[in-house]
Amino acid sequence: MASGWTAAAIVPAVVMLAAPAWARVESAPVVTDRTRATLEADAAVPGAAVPVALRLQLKPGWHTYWRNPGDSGEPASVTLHVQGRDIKGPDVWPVPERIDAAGIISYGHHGDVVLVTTLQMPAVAGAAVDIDAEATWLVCEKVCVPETGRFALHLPVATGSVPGDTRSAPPRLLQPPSITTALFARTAQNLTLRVPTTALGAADGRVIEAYFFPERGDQVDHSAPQVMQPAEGEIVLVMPAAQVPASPVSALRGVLAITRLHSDGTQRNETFQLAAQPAP
Amino acid sequence: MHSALFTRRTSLLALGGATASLVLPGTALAKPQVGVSAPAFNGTGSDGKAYKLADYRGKTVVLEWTNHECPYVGKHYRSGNMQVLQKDAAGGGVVWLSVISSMPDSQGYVSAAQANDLTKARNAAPAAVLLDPDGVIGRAYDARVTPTMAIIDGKGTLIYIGGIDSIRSTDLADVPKAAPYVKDALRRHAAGQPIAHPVTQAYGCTIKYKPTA
Repeated sequence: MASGWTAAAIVPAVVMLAAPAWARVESAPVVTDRTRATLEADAAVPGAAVPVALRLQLKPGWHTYWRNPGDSGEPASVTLHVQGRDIKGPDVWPVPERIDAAGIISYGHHGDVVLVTTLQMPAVAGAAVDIDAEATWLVCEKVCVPETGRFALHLPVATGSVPGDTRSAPPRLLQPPSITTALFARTAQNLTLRVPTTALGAADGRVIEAYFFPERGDQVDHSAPQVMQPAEGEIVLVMPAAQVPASPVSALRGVLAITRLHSDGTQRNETFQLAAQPAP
Repeated sequence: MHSALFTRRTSLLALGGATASLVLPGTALAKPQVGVSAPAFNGTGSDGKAYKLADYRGKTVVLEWTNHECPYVGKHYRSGNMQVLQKDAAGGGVVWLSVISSMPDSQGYVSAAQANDLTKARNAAPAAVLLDPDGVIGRAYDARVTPTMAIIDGKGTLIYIGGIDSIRSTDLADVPKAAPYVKDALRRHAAGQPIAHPVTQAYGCTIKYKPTA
C-alpha cells in the first residue's frame, strides 16, 4: 500500500537526546518540552550560497508546518542578521507530508526538521561571520504551541582548499529533481495538472497514485481529494480549487509526490519540484 | 477517497487510545457558497435554549467558531479584539453566535457551565454559545479551523465566510496591522454596501471534529 501510516496512539515520555549536529557549526540550543532547536551551518564560503539551517528536533507525534501549511497552522519564520543585512527565510524546505485530522489536511513535517535560509556570502569576507537570528515556529500534536528562539553562530570563513565534504550539500538539502514541462488549467471548480511521463524519469513501472502540494495556499482545496485521471503519456491530476477567489499565477509551483508500481511488484514513492505553466 | 500518499493521520483523543477513523462520506466537506442560502442549523446554547437560523429572519447573524485553548483564538481574545467586535455587533442589532464544534475530551470542548464561565472570564459578549460536539453545524459550514467566521444576512443568505483578519499569526501585535475582514464586512453590510472580500482564507487550529464513520 502507499506510504500512509498512522501516528502512535500513545506517546511515551521521551527524553530528548540531541542527534549529532547537522552541519559543522551549531548554535546553543533552545529547548522546550517538545523541541530542541538549533541554528546550524557549515563554514561560510566567500561568494557562495551558504545554507543556514533552523533545525527543529521534534518530540515524536509533534509536527511543524511546510511553507504552505494547508488548511491550518502556519509556516516557520526565520530572520538572519548578518553584517548589517536582514535575511528572511526559510527559503528551502523539506518535502512535506499530508497531516490528516478528521479530514482537515495540513502540510508539515515530523521528526528532525531542517529549514534552510540561504545566506549569499560576499566574494570577500574576513575570517569569520557572526550570525544572529530569531525564529518563530508552530508545533502541534493534539494542541498547537507557538515557539520562538534566538540563536547566534560564529561561522568560520573557509579559506584555501576546503575538505571535500563541505562542497557537497548535506543530504537533507538535496532537492528533488525538477520538472519544468508540466501544464495547468483552471476552471471555477478545479485546477488540472498535466505532467508528461517522460518528465518523471526513466524508472520502470507505472504511476498508480499522485498528489500535488502547492506552494501557495490560495490555489487548491487542501482537504479535497485529488483525482488522477487515466491518460496516455501523461499524468493528469484534477484538484478541486480553493474556496477563496483565484489569484492568477504565472506558474503553479509545488511538490509532486507519486507512487510507482514497479514490474517486480514493489511500490516506491518519488518526489519532484514542479513549476507548471498555464496550458495554452 | 483520500489518498494515503505521504499522509500522517493524527489522533484527536486527548488520552490517546485508538487512532481516530478518518474516512469521510462519499464527497469532501460541504461547501457553503456566498450569495446563496446559508446552511440551516438547529443548535443548543450553553444556556440550554434552542437556536435555529430560521429564527433570525430580518437580522444579520455572525457565527464564530471558537476553541479557547487555541493560540489563534487566544490572540483575538487576549487583545480584546473579539470582544470589541461582539459588542459592536450587538449594538448594531447583529446576532453573534459563538460555536464550539470540538468533540468531547478534545481541545476546546467545554460543558455548558464551563462555556458560561469562559464568557464571563474573558468578558465576551456573544448572544449565545452553541455547543456542537457532534460537529454538525461546523461541518455544514465547512469550518476547518478556529477562528472561522460566517455572516448571514436578514434573508438567510451567506454574505461572508473565512478568517477574522488577514494576518496568519499568533502575535497580538499583528491585530492592529491586519485587514479586519469581519469588522469591514459588518460595517459595509450595515451601510448597504457590497462586501469587498466576501471569501477569505481562515487561519487557526484545526477544529477537533468527531471523526465521521
